[in-house]
Amino acid sequence: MIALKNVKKTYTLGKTEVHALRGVSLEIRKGDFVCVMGPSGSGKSTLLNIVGCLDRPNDGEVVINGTNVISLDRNSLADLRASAIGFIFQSFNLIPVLNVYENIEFPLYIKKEKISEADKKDRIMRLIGEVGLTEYVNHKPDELSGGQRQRVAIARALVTKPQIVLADEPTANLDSETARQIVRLMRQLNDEEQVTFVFSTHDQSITEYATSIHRLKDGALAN
Amino acid sequence: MQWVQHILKLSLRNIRRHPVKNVLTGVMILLSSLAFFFSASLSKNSELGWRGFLGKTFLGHYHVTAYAGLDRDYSFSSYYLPDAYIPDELTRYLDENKVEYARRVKLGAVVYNRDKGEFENTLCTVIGMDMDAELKKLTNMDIVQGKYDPSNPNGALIWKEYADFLKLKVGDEITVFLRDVDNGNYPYTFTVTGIYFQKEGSNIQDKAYLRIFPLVLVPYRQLTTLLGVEPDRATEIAIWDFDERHSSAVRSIAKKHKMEFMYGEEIFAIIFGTVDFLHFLGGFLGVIILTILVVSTLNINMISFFERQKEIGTIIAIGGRARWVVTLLVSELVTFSTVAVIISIVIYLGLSAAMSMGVDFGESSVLFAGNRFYMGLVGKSVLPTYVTIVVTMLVSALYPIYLSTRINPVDTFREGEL
Repeated sequence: MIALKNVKKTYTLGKTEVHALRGVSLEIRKGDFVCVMGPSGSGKSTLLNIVGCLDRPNDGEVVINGTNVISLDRNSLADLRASAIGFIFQSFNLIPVLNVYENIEFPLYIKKEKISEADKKDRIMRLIGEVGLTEYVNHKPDELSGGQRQRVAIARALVTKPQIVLADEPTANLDSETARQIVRLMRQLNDEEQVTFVFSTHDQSITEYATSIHRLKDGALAN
Repeated sequence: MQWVQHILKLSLRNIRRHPVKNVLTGVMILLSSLAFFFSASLSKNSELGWRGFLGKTFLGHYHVTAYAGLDRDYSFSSYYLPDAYIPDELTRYLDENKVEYARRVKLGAVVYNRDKGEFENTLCTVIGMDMDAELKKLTNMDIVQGKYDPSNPNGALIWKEYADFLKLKVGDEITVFLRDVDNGNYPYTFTVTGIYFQKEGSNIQDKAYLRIFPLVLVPYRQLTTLLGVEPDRATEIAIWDFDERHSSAVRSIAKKHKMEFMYGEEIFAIIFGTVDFLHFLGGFLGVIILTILVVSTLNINMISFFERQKEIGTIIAIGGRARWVVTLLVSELVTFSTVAVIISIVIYLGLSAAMSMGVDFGESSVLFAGNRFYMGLVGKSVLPTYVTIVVTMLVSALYPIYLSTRINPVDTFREGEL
């Protein structure tokens, strides 16, 4: 489903070149619940950004559903993200002026998915129920706790029925108990929705839910 | 459609989210709008004031003259009869639509100064007019000596200052030299039956050089006969009907036949350039404010761009195209401008209501023909003002919008919380 072949990424910071990824190759199958581990600066975020078509590698191939996305233009990448990829961010990145329901609804407008109002409402309310926020439907992000915001972000990532959900350190801003709840929820949805999850963390304690773990160190896979 | 509704909803909420920024921008829009509305009101007051005043003079409410191409010099008519007369199409239109008008023959002349035995400084304009119909319309004209005598076809009314200059009194004869239809220059003698005084506005006498209008009024029928002009032909038509429904049609017919069409205030504008000046003043003020608006809102929009990088980055990350971001930001600007202009209109109407008694501009009231100034909202100024504001706002937001479309989400997610 996702294949990275010898992916390299170098950033230039002033006069210094930072090798974020040094020839990473890996494969992720449909339905996997993949954890990318590594310390800060190991290249986890860069790897997820490249898989999520938010960033381009300097070298190598990124194949998603048989398409090498390296050659796609900006708009095609945007369309691919809207239709096939869901994102969960470390700092939630909810739209502050929209309530829980509207934040989850938002990607459907971006995707311009043709769906009846009733079906849309059913889908959103079901997801809200699954992430346990039924009582908070009309709350704005600043009226929610960190864990609740991340649940909204999870529901938002799933609403377009993507094939892959990418979560870059989704538990980094949460306490340990909430972090475990969030990863459990992601795992549960991975089972129920049959969506591939790829998440990054440097927290060893939440890796137990992963079906496979890839360890990054200095931009290269350690395993 | 839902997509549009969603964009609008998001726009409105984002506008409410940044109250300080929007109040600052809103104040700039308010000032610009008020400047535009006010200058439009100044022009309108001037236009109506002068239309009202000049509508009681020989100019009529508006008029059409065959003397086109004379650089619109209303101080003196052509010394020759025109090549073409008022077209039948125009009189037919006026008759069919029951528009009240009067036919005239008007041309320049010189008068023999019997007192001095010379022609120096005796240029005047002779108007052959239907005295019975028109004298009652000329409410700013007082016959101070003698009277109009309908039984005397050779009777003439002359302007008091002209009579004084020529040392003429009621009962004297006045000889004018006119060019007839064959271009022959002949003397025609009339008897002065009345001397009139042209009333002028409160402080207009000092400002307006109406003294350069020595007029000799004679009966229309008599003048056409003397000059050999066919019956019912006219070199000028004065329209006394204040119903403005027909003015644009009359203007159009006049233009088609290469005639001059003039409203009273247009003549005033030509003489004094007042309306042009008011337009210039309003436009200049508006441009200054719009420039300030562009600069200040550009800065505000740049700050807003930096504040909203993460939000826009999120939209791009979850699949929003650059077009989506542009639509959202433009929608916010247009929505905001619309609301701001509506508020400006309400405030302007409030100010108008508070000043419903009008304002006396003292010496400057010559701009309004001596009338008070009423700060009404001119309907036709609203749309241009709105469009100008929206375009200005868009111009000031072009660069921030461009930057927004170039945002790399990866850069915006590095740290901090939305």
